[in-house]
Amino acid sequence: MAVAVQATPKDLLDSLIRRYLKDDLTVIEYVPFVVDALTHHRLLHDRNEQAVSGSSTGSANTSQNQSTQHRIWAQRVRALLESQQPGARWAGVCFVRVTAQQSASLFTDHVRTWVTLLVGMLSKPESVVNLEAIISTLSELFAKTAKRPDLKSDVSSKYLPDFHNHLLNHKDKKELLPTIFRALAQSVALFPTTFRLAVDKTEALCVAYMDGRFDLEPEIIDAAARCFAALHWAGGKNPNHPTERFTPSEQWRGNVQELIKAMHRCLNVLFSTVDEDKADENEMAGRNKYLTGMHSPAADAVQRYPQMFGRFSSLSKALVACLTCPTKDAVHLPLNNILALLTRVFDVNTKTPMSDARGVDSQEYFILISGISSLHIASNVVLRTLLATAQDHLVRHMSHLATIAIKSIRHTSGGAVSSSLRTSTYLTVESCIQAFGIPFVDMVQVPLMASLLEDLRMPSSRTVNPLELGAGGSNPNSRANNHTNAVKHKGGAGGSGGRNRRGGGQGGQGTMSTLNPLEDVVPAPVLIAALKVLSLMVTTSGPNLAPNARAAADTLVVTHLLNSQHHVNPIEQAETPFYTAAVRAQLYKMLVASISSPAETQSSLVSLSVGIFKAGLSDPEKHVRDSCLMALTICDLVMHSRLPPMQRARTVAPVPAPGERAVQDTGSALFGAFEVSKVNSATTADQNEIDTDEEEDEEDEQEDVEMQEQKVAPIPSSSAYGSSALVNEAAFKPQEQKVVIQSSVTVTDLADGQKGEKEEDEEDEDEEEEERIVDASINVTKTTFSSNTVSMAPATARDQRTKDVSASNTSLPTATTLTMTTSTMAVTSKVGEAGSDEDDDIVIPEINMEDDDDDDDDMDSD
Amino acid sequence: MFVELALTSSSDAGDGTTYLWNLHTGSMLGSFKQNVSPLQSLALVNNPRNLGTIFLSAQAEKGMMHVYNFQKDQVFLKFPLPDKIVCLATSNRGKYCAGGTENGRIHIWEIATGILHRTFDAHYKKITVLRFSSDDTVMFSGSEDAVVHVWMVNSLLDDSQTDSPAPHYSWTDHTLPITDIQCGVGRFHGARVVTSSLDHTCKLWDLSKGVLLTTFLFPTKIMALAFDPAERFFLAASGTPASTSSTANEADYLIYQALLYKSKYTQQGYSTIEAVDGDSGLEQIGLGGAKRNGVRGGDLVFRGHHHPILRLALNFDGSALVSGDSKGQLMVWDVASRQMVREVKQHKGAISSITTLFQPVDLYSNTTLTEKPKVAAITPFKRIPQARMGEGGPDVNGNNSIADDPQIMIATSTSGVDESDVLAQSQEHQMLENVRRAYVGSRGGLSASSGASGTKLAQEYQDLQLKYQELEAKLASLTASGAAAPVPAQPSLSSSDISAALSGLRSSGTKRRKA
Repeated sequence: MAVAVQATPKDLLDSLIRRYLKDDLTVIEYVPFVVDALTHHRLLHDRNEQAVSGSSTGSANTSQNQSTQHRIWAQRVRALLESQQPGARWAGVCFVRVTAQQSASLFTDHVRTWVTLLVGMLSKPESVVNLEAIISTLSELFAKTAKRPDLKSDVSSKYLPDFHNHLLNHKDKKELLPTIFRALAQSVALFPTTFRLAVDKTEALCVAYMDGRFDLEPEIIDAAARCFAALHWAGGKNPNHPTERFTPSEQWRGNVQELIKAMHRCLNVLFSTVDEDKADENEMAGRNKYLTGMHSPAADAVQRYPQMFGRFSSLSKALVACLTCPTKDAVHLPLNNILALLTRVFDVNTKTPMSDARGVDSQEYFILISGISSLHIASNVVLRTLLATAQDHLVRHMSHLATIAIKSIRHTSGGAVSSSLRTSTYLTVESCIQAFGIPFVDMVQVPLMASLLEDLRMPSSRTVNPLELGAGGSNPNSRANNHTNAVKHKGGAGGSGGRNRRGGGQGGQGTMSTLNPLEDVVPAPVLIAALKVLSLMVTTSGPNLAPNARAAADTLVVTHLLNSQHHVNPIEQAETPFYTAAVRAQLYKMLVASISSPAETQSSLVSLSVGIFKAGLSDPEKHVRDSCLMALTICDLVMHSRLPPMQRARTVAPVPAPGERAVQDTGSALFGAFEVSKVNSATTADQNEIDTDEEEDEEDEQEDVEMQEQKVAPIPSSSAYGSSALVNEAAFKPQEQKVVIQSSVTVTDLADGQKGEKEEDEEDEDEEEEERIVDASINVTKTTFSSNTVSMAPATARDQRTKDVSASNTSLPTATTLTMTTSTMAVTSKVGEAGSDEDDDIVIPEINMEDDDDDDDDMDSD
Repeated sequence: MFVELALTSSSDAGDGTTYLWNLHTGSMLGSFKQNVSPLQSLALVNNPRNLGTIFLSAQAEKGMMHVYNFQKDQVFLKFPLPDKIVCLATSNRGKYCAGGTENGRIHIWEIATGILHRTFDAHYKKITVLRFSSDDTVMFSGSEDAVVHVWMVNSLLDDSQTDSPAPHYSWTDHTLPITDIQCGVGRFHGARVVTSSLDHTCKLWDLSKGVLLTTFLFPTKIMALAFDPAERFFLAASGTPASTSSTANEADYLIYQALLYKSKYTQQGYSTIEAVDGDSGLEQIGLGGAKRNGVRGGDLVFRGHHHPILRLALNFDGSALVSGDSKGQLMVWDVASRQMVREVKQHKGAISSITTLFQPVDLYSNTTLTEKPKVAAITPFKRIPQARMGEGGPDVNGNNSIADDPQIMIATSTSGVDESDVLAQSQEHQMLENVRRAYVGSRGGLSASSGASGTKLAQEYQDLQLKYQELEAKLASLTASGAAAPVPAQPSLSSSDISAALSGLRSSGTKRRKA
């Protein structure tokens, strides 16, 4: 008889130690495997011990073994740390990290040994890889001791100063710098008092990498900036009082102001060739010895300018880091100073004339203008961060910021400016709109809309658009045509507009032109940023936008979407794909924004959108499909507007399905329910009578409803199918066939899904795939809308009585929505049946009854 | 379980205590002394962080502001105001505070800095109510001159606008003093507003166009409003007795529930639910309870008060209502059944404000909080407006004083930096990055490779040495002049820089080659 062998954690750990850790030379090769095994089986986890020891008395032995194994493991790890082989030492460090993560008891027992060994290793010559592992492991170990007073004297107080010194000694190793900065930043946050000794040197190190001389990797500068920002935790010396110290929040403010002054000093050098409000040298002198002690700029302009540009952008990173560094206390944000700095930067742009003072070198001016974009990009980031941090406090500067925004938009629109700067400007405008809302949109609307429409315009090959045929030629002037065309159709961005344009197409250029090679296509990031801004604008001030601009934007978006769905476009045959997945997703989002904030003066896009979103369901990218699904649900909500959950008497509560919690229960669970002391006696009695009757019938009711659901289900699906076919026929004739030809996996999925829904009662069990997809999509929708559906069911029920049932079915757009609404439908029809009878003489299904009686009760009671 | 509390104050000088009590049990959790605030003159300052909550209370007779926090029952901060403030409101995000005066003037302060942003004449008579919209874009003011003004908050706060602000809308349809204003959810172009007046009407307005949607006519004067969170109904409290009252002593003061959706029967025998708003129609509430326009349904009233009801407040989900009357009686109602569930008789005089809130962090007696939360930032309000900035925005050298800077707490993830998603896709950006990397690599490669690079390295070293000497000279001059604060004896920065740079040059070369 075979003995069943079962692997216990003990065995696994034992075999790992025996087989893989025995040889110092080879252990490095097995580290990934061992770490994997340890992690997946949680071999070092304390819970194993407790579970075993708690289960039975007989298992005390096992527990003993387990702790023995742990001891062996710890010994072996220690031996690895002390090994002569660098590989073995690295492995040891990795194992220490895993052990500390998994087992609190092992950590407590051995942290002293580990820290002693690891700090010792830092002082010896080690490879960079080893040092990196050691530093990050030590950081983690110290972080774990931060909340442990028992380990303070043995570990953190004893070894932290050494650790900091060693870190600072390794500053020459450039590859290590990000790790070192991270470790220092964490240390100062967790142990501000202990860190005070190292603050000076750390600050020097951070500042050294921000002065723009070295063309360093951005990671290092970022890490240095974050470390610099974190240094405020340690407070600082007060130069006026030798014994007093600055609190962290005072230090934070000081740091920010020093950075601002340093940036002003950069600008003083950079803007020497233009007329502007120079910052006063004395005012900007600054106190921070490292920031003021930065190398003075080179005498040669060729060297000086790049260095100053680099320094400005590094310092702006530090400023951003300060503005986003979490603070313990409230800090005084020098808002005006930052805004003054930004204003100074934005006041100078490519159109700023050279100073007409004597002795100004025009070559220097040219260098300045060549690099001005980098200043603007850096300042945009600072402004965005400021908007996110200071929020409402900036409201009083809104019109000033709007002026800046308008200036930036004007200067960045057009092809002459890099896409990075345009994207950055758009993102800043987006942040402004988010922060200030509709008043800001009103201020910047005109130039912003013009710029957005410019970026969203179709490339000159616009004649290929089936709806836009004949609207313009493939010449560079088509831009203007495009606008006039869009404006012309301002009243008909919806279906009627489409028809007009189709009609116009018959007489126009029916042939597809090729993409003009000279015409530059708007880069995808700019397009995405522009669409983001546009959707935010539409959501923020939908009806208040200028109708012409709004209609033009809507038309452009719809045109882009149709172009992206119908691959008849030479843009797509260009070298780089124009409609990338991100662009498509953003286009769909914009359309959603448009239909959810309709303008009064133009016909809605909903009818057109349904078809577009349906076609979008066959997009190759999953997240685009998901957003289309969401969009269809929103269309559904637009078309079948729901009522808010109505106030109802609580005498009869609808019985929730098994596993389902009624909404009201959730409410009372959270806030507590009110006990109604006395209820109107007459009505209660009546209600109770019906209640008792009903309680018996409730289960039957449920069954009935379910049965009805099944009966009803095929009807809407078929009608919906019919209607969708109609919609397709009307607007997108080639859609269905195209779908089949064009795509591989997804489309077949969808087709199956629809079929599956349509013939629900036949239940083709064998098509597993289809089932899976339908289920999945239901789940997706359920998460977002189930609560709505549950709570709104009764409301819809009331509503449905007058509503034409078939009408409401027809436009249910997807297979998924169908399944969801059928349950509502079933209840609805039931109610509708009962409601048509006049009130009280029959036993009415529960939902309807309480609804009708509610008003009557009140009359009686009053 | 979340505990819902109510904060109630009285305008009676003999009372002078503000109470904080549990809405569900009626138990008192705290009382705050020395507070006599007129109607609508107490405002809770919301703050998004786990800071200790504060509330402001204007003392009308004294022209003082009292600030309380939930950690002590005495006044936390007390400061004089430029005027006698008779009504008060704070913005929903807790950044700004507006106060109205007896003669129709409005002041706006920033709470954290105390800066008086603007003082302007808004109405001809006493301001009776101030309210911010849910997104803080607009502020409403109602007055005894029967007008409701809608102000864009940004234009009130804008430093560059010097002339007196003009209201965005002026709603003049009411004929008697305005008593209350409530704004629903939504952004500017979606929100709806209810106003009440002594002229027996409440009016529902559309904020985006500023048009009147519906007028609700009541049999009594309306003193206070409460708007359902889902905007299915609003509640209106009457200030005069209902006609059905039996005797003068036992006069009934009712709270009317005005439905914004109601069922209608059509001629075909169907009933339908439809919204009542739109088309500036007239709805009669509580007038006899007869069938109207073929609509069935009686008056939905909350019956129980015997004195004019002055304030109403709904709880978080609109399931419970708190009402307070002119004799200091508070009642808690279950909204669904319109039954009174609790009576609270703590106050001795007329109720001047009711606010519902969740139990603030200050009042949790748990052990996880080692120290009491810090109280949200507030500075005594200034009495004269701040000097305005010029056209060009803040001055470059504008070294503003610390008092002008807002105090904020920075949370972890407020970074506005989202370069990664969009900018990283930019081809130019990627190209720039590649060039930068290649440049660093090539420079390192040059220095590491033997031959010609040796001289280059030496040159760089010389350059750095020159700079070092330069800096040293500068430092020496600084120390000589004595201007500088303690200067380190060893200019560690520059020497370390040089070594860092040199080693960087070497190591980056080796790294690139490895790569």
